[in-house]
Amino acid sequence: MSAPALNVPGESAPLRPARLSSDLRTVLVLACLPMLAALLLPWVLLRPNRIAPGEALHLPGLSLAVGVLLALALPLSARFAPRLLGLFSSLALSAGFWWLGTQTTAALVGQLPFARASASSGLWLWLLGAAVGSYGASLAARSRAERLSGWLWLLPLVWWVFSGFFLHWSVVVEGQAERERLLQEFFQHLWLVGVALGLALVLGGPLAVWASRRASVAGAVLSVAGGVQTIPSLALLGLLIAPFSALSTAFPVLRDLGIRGIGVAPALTAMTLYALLPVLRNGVVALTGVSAGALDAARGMGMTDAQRFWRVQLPLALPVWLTGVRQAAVLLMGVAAIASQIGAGGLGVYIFKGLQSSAADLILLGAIPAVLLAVAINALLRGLEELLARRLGRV
Amino acid sequence: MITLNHLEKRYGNTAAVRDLSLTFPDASITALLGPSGCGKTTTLRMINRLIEPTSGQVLLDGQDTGQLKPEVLRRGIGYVIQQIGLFPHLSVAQNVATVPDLLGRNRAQTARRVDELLALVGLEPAVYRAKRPAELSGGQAQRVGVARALAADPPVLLMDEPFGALDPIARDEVQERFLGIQAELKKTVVIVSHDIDEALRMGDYVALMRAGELEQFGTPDDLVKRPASEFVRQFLGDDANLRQLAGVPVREFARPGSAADAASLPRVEAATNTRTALALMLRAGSERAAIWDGETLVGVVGFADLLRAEAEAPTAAGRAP
Repeated sequence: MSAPALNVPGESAPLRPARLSSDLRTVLVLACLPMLAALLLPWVLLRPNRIAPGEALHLPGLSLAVGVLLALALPLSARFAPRLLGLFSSLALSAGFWWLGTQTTAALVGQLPFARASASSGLWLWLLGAAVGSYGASLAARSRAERLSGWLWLLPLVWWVFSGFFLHWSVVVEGQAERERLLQEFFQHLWLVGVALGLALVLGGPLAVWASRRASVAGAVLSVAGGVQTIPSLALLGLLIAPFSALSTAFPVLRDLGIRGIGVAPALTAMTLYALLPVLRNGVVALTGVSAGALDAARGMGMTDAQRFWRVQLPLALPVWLTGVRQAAVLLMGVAAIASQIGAGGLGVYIFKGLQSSAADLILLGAIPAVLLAVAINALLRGLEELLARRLGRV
Repeated sequence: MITLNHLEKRYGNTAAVRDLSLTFPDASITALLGPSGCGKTTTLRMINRLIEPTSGQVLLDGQDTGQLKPEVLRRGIGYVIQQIGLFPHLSVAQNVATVPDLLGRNRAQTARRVDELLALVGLEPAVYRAKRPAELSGGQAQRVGVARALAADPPVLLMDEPFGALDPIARDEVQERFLGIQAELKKTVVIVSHDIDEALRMGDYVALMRAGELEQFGTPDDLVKRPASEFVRQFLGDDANLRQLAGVPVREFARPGSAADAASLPRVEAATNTRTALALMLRAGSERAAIWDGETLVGVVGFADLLRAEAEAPTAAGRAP
């Protein structure tokens, strides 16, 4: 979405870049302020070991100067050179990551192996400000080149991640130690979301089709699914422990199958129930929203009910339905993080372990992959939706 | 030939269609005309069994449609609706090919047929074949709708207020184009309309309905000049005669005339409908006009001729079925 730009009266040639609207310029000032504040805060917390209190370290003088320039570059560029905004915001983000790597490395020089250098408030605030700046740049982008320049920071980041540039950052240090388990929990998390989503589709799909044909069914089914949604996830997970326990005690064969009061079975049940509402709701809306004229024509031309459903109704309903599936997937990413609390595994294991032992590194170890995964799934499904919308000629 | 025998449709206690017996003549356009709620759309939809009759029969070339599977019946009948109803996720060519595909026809053959039909409705195949319905104007979309209905070459075409969603200019063009197609293809067409102009212009025959019953069946001429009841006369309105003239090409009124005579008269194309010809004469301030078919002089016509034609043989001015 590109923001409308004001044309300053008196400027003749339309080729001159239009000025940014004052709203956008405000966004970029709002990006600059946290970045400047961040420079005053400590960037690295050096602890002699995992649990001892640490020493706050600030950015060295030269970096501070560069930081000030970069921070000011955003609102100045917004005012005088809007075309360069993407570039400057990428530079700011990259600088943040650069300092993460170099400062943590520098902090650990001459320290014992148990020492930990973690990122502190300065870094996070800087990244936040730079991210806001990047967002502002994407809104202001008026050409493909400008849009792409706002994503340039990804290149050095990927390079640094894979070349071990961040190896001294405490989160990565923890990750190295936990490597196998982390990977295992990552895939467990993905597996939980995938299976629950699949179950929700298998159950919700036919249910949505049925509900789209009968208003009474639709009302009942949607209110039940909506009711489930109002139960907080941890509460639902807890509530399911008792029935599953009872079942597996009564039928030992279930126990052999791995279905117990805690673990994957109640977690998947809860997650499937949560995913049902978006799948059902969007399904019903999408199916009933298909053009009545197209459906009447299909029937009048001699399609059987099945042909009409598969050839006309379903393809036309897919984009809206897919939005619901996407919402369900993102929702499930969050619930899966909590499911670790009842023994289902997943990245929540690290988040909660970190919360319990007040180890921020562990929290981040769980949270960062979870967030990245959610963003990736969202972007993937969004792309699919747009592909479908284009094929339908934007109906 | 479509025959309705004592066709009835009841919803609870109300009868939407009451004891309707009617024959739609072959190879002609019959307009089902009437006020809202008179049962014309219900009647149309009972022909292809989108609505099942409560009692009575529909015979298609002597065969009872109730004996056939509805899908099989409908694949043999073309269907055009007011909302057009093109499939947005398919291209124009795929839309037109819908029924032949349902019937399992050969792909290459169907593709040729699609091109043929697109050309017939006035859309250049190379340009329109790959377009999506969203890229079409209303008039273009309905032309595709007509092409789609004709794709499997059905003998019967049912049209439910097909041009109602179009703006007046597009409507005029598509009506004109359709009349041209019909002259070539000679399908048995039933067209539902609440627009008197459309019914009188398009219909070779008109069936006027009211509250589920048939008020009068006949040619437009019959209804205009010999209305069977006060209702018919009132429904068609005071300008019924003018409306009817809109369905007659002015060449039908042509009288022989000399080139010298014609040179001084305003020019009217032979295919123009008579009402428009009258309007042109009014605009030119002349009581007479010269009818030309391109460079050929067909004859001359004057207001007096129209009056005389009305007074003499009443059916002479009607279009031949």
